[in-house]
Amino acid sequence: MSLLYRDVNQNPSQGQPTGVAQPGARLAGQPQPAQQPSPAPQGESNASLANLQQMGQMELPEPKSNIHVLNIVGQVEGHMVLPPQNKTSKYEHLIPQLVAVEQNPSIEGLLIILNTVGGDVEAGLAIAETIAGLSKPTVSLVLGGGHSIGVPIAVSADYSFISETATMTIHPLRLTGQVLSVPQTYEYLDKMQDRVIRFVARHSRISEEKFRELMFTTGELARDIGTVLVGRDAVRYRLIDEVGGVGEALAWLDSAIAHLKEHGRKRRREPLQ
Amino acid sequence: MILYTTMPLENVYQGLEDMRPSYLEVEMAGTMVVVEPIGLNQGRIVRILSTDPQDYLHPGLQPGRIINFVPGGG
Repeated sequence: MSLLYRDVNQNPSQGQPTGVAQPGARLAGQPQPAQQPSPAPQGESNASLANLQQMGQMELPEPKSNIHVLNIVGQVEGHMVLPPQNKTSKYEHLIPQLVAVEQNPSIEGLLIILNTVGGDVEAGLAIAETIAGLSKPTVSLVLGGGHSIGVPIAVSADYSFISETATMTIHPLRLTGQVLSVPQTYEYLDKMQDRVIRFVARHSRISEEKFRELMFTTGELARDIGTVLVGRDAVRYRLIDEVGGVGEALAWLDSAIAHLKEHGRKRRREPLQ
Repeated sequence: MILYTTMPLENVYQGLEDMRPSYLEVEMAGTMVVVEPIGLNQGRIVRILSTDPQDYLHPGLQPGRIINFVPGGG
């Protein structure tokens, strides 16, 4: 049995199928006959068949804005699908999107908005490294919260903002971390933690020592050791560049895009004059 | 896999054992997508399987989008 899909969000009144869906087509390795579509449901006219063939190709995306927004919410999801009560940002989707942003000539800059509770270390670091490797100007804005693995993602942009009331929790990996199918040695967790610390120190103006110190502060968190930085604190510790909102972040991005066009190189960690 | 999060892990993993997601690979106009069937004739896009980066910016292929399956003959 073949399946047709109908795009429910397009032309609901017409209700014509707009393409052919074949489950497992790639796995089965069956070549798609270009001229002969699968038999249509009974009652479909030849006209709608022709229509189906014509609409089988989707047009290329045309971005309407010269910047794109990457919204990182909930848990950063890695190799394991989390139960549905978690809101997740999935790395297998975010990373190709970042590649598309880099490649698409009509996109000139990227705004990353974070409101995340953290998540998978490797997925988070992979996203952060991808953002840091973009040749187009990037700016990040922490709204609400950018905790745990959200910290390296926030600092991976060329310039970072935090809203007045947003918080960032910096805590050690091992106390809330869980290792699956890997021998959990202290050294292994320590190495993972060092990767996070080094990335943050390299991509912001905080030193490794200071960041480690914030990580191991006692007396701030009830069930954990670590530090909660609220808005201005994150700037005071030089983790985040500036306190600001969407307006400031977009103004910085626009100026960075103009700077890149004019000077041929990226502006990094420099405030707007 | 290590989770580095402020959320208590019991909240994150709650319901993990009962979770039995079923996925279907379908081709949508030339692009393979992973779809989670919901009901008899609807599915939610879960993931894109494509090597064309621009597919990942395509509004019609965004994960979460609901598509309708119409059972056909053949």
